[in-house]
Amino acid sequence: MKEIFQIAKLISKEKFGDLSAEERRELDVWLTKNGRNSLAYKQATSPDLIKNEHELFEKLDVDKSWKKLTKKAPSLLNRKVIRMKTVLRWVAALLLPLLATTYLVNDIYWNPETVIVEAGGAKATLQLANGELIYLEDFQNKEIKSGKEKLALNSDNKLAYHEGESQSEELKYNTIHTPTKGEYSLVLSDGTKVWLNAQTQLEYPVKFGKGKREVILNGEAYFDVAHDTTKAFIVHIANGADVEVLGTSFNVMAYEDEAEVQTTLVEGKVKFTYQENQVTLTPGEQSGLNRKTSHLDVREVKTYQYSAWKEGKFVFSREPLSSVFRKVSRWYGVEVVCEDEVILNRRISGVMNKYENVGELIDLIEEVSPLKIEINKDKLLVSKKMNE
Amino acid sequence: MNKNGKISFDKSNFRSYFDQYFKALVGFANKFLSDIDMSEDLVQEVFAKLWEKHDEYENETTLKVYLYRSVRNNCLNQLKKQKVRQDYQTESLPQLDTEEFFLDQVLSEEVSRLLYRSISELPEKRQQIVRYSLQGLKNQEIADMMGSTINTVKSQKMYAYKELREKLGKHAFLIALLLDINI
Repeated sequence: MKEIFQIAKLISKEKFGDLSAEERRELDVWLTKNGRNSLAYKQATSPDLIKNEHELFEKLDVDKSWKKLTKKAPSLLNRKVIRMKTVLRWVAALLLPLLATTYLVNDIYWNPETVIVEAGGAKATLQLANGELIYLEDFQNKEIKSGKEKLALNSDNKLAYHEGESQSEELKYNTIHTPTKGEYSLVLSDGTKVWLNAQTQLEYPVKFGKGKREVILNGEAYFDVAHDTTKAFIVHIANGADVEVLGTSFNVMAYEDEAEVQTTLVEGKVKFTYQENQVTLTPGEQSGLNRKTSHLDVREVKTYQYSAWKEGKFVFSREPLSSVFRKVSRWYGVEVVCEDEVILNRRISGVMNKYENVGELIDLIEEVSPLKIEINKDKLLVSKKMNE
Repeated sequence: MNKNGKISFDKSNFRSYFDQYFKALVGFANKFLSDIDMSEDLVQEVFAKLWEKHDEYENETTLKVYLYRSVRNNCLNQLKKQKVRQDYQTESLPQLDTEEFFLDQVLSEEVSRLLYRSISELPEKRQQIVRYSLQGLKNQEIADMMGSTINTVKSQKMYAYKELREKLGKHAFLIALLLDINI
């Protein structure tokens, strides 16, 4: 029955224009599931029916009904209690600063019931060649300068380097770093676009030289490399692997706490090298290098799943909960506590806007699985529902 | 809503849930009862009970499931009573109490509710354009009815639809599918 509400949302959205490919597919799956569904769809989308219903809505007087309701349930209007609560709130507001001087406010006042763990957002620090640190999210619409030289413009949560080629042999490097709950995007001096996921570090020259274009990555980034056949673009990964391209779009996931270094090719061609092993990927392929065994594997994947994070989405497709939880930790800055291996190996599927707060994600996971997830300060405690 | 997105009611939030669902639930009850006054009264009763129970709901979807189910059950009881009292032979009763009929009506009602709610947040002129176009009127016909030009209608409609999609998108995360979680 719960599915009905999701389908209703999709149908409403469809009425106002296009659905995304993902949504279209979801609706189509439902429509073709059985003959009844397409009849229900016809009824729900009938212009006459909607018009009648909306005319009925117009006629109804919500205020009048609310008044009648308060007669049926008088405690809805119990003024005394409201006043008392207001008084208490004022007392609390006045007392708190006093208490705070002697106790940790957190411990006495912070009601865990009201904790909302918010999603991450645009946040990054930039370290210049001279060691200077800049907090980019607080440094909007400004030029990043080194002495008098303008290096890049930081605006709309994007850092864009000015075009050009370095004239000297020695390159100057900048390093951008996104924390837990952070993401950022940048345009390098050759026009290459890079999206950085949370807990990621990228080191790159302010201006590339005459030879290869080389950057160093730790974490996860999506690259849309500006085409230049004369200068290969190489992503060095901290464990010694390299991804070499000419001009193309791909995602590199190289978190140290993940079992694999994954390179997913969306468009173009890339060469992945690790020690003496080398593979060339074609679009739709992913290479996976096992960090422990050094085993290198190539597989076909739906690339969208691996780049959706840069479009602001979580896309899980039969993804083990252990991996889901690692993503949750990086993006929401929470520690996920789950001791049950069986749970961690289970797989789930689903799509969610990653800017929703963590409660939404928990709801979704709880809805599709027999799990119970509690928030306790900055921890998520995962267990099985008792009655299942 | 508290930390887990769980819903528990207090005086400050109950009204907003009432505002959000009252009209749609009356429309829904009316499909069973074909009597608007009676439907209004019945939905008020359901909300009164909801308040008095003071239960907590896992999320908004579970709340919706509860609301639609209680309205439907109360409607069926109401119809049974009427039948006894008036010795009123209705042919449609057996069909009204099937699960399929219930789900189909919930779907239609939710679509109408979501459309209505998002449209009513638009500026007035755009509301009118969207309503006409939902009724299947062509841009030229809408322009004629509103004394406007077709280009104005087109661009207003485009902005309106964009805004509407965003509004719906905000609430519409799509999980869904399935899962082989089966612990």
